[in-house]
Amino acid sequence: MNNSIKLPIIAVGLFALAACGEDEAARTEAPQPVAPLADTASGESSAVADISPTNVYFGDTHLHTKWSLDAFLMQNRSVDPDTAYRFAKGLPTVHPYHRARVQLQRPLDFLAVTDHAEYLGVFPKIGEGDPVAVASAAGKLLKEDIDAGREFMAFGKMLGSTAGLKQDKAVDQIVSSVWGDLIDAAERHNEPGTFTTFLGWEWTTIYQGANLHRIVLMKDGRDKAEQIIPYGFLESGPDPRALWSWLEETTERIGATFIAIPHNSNISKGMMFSKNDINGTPITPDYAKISAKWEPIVEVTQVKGDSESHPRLSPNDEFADFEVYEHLMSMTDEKAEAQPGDYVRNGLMVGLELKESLGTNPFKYGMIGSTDAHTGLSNAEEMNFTGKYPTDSIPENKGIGVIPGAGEGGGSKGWDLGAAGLAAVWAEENSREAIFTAFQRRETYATTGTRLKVRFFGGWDFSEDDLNASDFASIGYTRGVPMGGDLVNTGSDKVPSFMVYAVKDPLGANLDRVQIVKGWLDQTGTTHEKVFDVVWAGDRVKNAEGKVPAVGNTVDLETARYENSIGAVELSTLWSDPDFDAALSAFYYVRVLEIPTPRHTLFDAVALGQSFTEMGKPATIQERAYTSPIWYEPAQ
Amino acid sequence: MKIQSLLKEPFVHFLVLGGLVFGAFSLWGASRDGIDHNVVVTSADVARLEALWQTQYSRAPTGEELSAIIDNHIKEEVLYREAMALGLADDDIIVRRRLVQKFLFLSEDLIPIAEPGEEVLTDYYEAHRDRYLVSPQTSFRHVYLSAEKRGEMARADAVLLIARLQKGDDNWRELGDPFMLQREYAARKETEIAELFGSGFAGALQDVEEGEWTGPVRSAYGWHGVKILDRALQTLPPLAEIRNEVIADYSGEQRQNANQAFYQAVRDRYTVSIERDAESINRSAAQ
Repeated sequence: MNNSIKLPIIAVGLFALAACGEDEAARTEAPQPVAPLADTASGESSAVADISPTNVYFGDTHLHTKWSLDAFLMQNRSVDPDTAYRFAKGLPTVHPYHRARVQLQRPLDFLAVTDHAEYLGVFPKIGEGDPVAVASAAGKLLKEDIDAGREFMAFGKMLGSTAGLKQDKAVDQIVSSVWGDLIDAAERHNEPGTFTTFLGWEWTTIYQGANLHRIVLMKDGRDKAEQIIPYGFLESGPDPRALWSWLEETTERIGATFIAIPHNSNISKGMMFSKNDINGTPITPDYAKISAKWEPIVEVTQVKGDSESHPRLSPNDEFADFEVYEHLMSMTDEKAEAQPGDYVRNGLMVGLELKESLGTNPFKYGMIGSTDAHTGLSNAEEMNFTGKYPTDSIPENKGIGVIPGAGEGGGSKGWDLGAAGLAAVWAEENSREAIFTAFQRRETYATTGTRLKVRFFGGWDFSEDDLNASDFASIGYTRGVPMGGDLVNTGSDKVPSFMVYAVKDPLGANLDRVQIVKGWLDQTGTTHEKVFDVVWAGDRVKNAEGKVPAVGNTVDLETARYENSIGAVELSTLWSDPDFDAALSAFYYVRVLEIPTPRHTLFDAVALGQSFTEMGKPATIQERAYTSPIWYEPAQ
Repeated sequence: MKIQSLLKEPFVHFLVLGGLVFGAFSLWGASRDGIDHNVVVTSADVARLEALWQTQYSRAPTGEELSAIIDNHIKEEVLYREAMALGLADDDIIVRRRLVQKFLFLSEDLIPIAEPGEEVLTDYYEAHRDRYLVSPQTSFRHVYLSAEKRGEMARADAVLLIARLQKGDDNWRELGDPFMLQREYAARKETEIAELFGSGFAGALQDVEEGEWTGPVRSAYGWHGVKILDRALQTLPPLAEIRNEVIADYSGEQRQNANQAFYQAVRDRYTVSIERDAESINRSAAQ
């Protein structure tokens, strides 16, 4: 009995020790895990011991409401932050476009409403004819189009000439009052233990057509937030260093705690994870340090496509061709073509390389997903998708342009967008403190909308018994490191082993397989990647190339239904890297694939009585999860 | 020239007849349907259509495409005017609702809502007690038998294991198959249990009696023996604990009231009379 009842705090304390064995500047300010709330995990009944040190919480850190300029243009005139939080909590709300009642089938555990900092709340005022808003630079540029109902065109104009959208101090008064509204809503809806809200915004740089957007999140509440107004790129200019400097200064000035989260690297024209800064100059050790300090996690999957890997960059990965989205947010003829700096797997590899030359890995990212929906409705459910913008919420609108842009066909249509993005966090409790600290230590994973659960631990002496033990997670924390951690070379000739355990979403589809993606840097300074199938459903046998054959597909294209008659409900294994070389730095992360299920467009195809082939996207997809990596570094 | 001879002049006939026809036609055209039959596609219109195309496709339209867009524009304009003239918009519920929506978009949520004072908040909380009741919570432990590992025997094995646990369960935590989730959970709501084990399991657990190992219960993963340790009944949390939520609800209601008041103010500018015959009044009174 002694063995079985452990106070959560003990395991958490040990795990903090395990996670701190790291040498990077970014980690010297290692966040401290928090003590659980007295009235949650430990419960009122003293006989019950919830022994798991962490629970998984699902949420969204990237959501826009009617206060965002482009959300307004694309017809979000009604969903404000208050409505956004209510929807995320599972309450029925009215859709901003088609006005039908909409409701999330499963509430979220946390949400950050993150409107664009630039002209925050000003566009609705332009529409209303507010004199300050109308007289602003944006008002002058777009008022006429807005009044004439040419909002899509106004949106294009705005993208086409971000130069036209000059900063205008006159609107600060509006921005400040709308920021107040965001603070009020977040504070009202924050209920520790049940539902967590975060304050934040989006810093919306597009530089020469390259998306360099970041979400800025605060750990703090009203008292700190009221001392600032969201810092946007019209004020900072396009260089992320300006944002980081502002974070640095503001942290010093008011004592707030921030992180910045890059997203949509897939349309960054190779710039998000480049070895050069935005001027084309190689990045410096200082650049690497400050990048690592402010950006512990990256948003790897969302409505505008998946940024984990690309079939052209990872030709041996048969699952890399997933929700590929190649529409630049730019009005030139330029096409998005996958470059190494666009995809997170490659970014992690470049990070190893730069760590070697600069002493700090600037791209040491944990993974999360989020929606980036502009409806104010955070919704990653395929069969219940409420749109990226309000306008693409109804099947009949999904075939027309929803985001203006470059390339063939111009911009993207509703069909091109994915119903995606959840941030999964292993934290001690559902609170700002605990979840934010988990972001900082990268104990997170991204999902494309499913709520499958996955644990991932790396250590030096795990056994099959540990994997199968009833306190498996506690063992993982005390004798190893969780996802997002570092394996420190103990100087011995041991090979690290990894415990990975995945269970299906209990209300969703079965699992196809669990993979471990390895990236490493060889002696010559060249990076490599390899995907290992480590455990899979059924009795499939690996083929000559070492790959497990496809799981099959139960989706009925006529009815958009699937069956859990293939796949597994849980998959677990203890895995060691057969090619491990103690002298080479490497990272390992887990990718879990579900069996194929209908994409949102298949539901539309059935509803419209059309063929899904007209939509230019596959009828079915394999929803998935990506864990934060565990990094290995050789002894110096 | 005399009037009479003028009246005999064929050219005059032509003019008069032509004038009548023209007059009739323009009467029919202008006053009966009010349609302006001149469609002028200005160079500004063409430039706008081209720009719209450019925005959507990132290139200028070809000559052929441009004449197609212009044709389309003309078609839309002509049919729109005909439809408007026939009064199709007036009878159309969708058009009416769309216009109403547009009006509401511009007018709603404009009035700032003040934070409620202590007394107001307490009254509101008391009046809406039902809304703040916390669902019942269950504390339980379980053993797991994998349907995938054991196949058809999983359920029978669970029955055997439960019988054994009923005789003594000191080492219950080590029995059954390995499982990623916890063996024991404290104070979880039914919805939370559904997120862990599936809705069927969560529902079944509500009917299990407290205190003894029982089952087997099916989850999304396999079969389970379960033991309910504690059940907390539905409770009403004190206002201090759920203050933010109550304020949110109060403000939401105030906002709705403000929107309603706005409508009422607009409504008050209208004189409304409802003409109903005695029969219909009797009918609704009878209901």
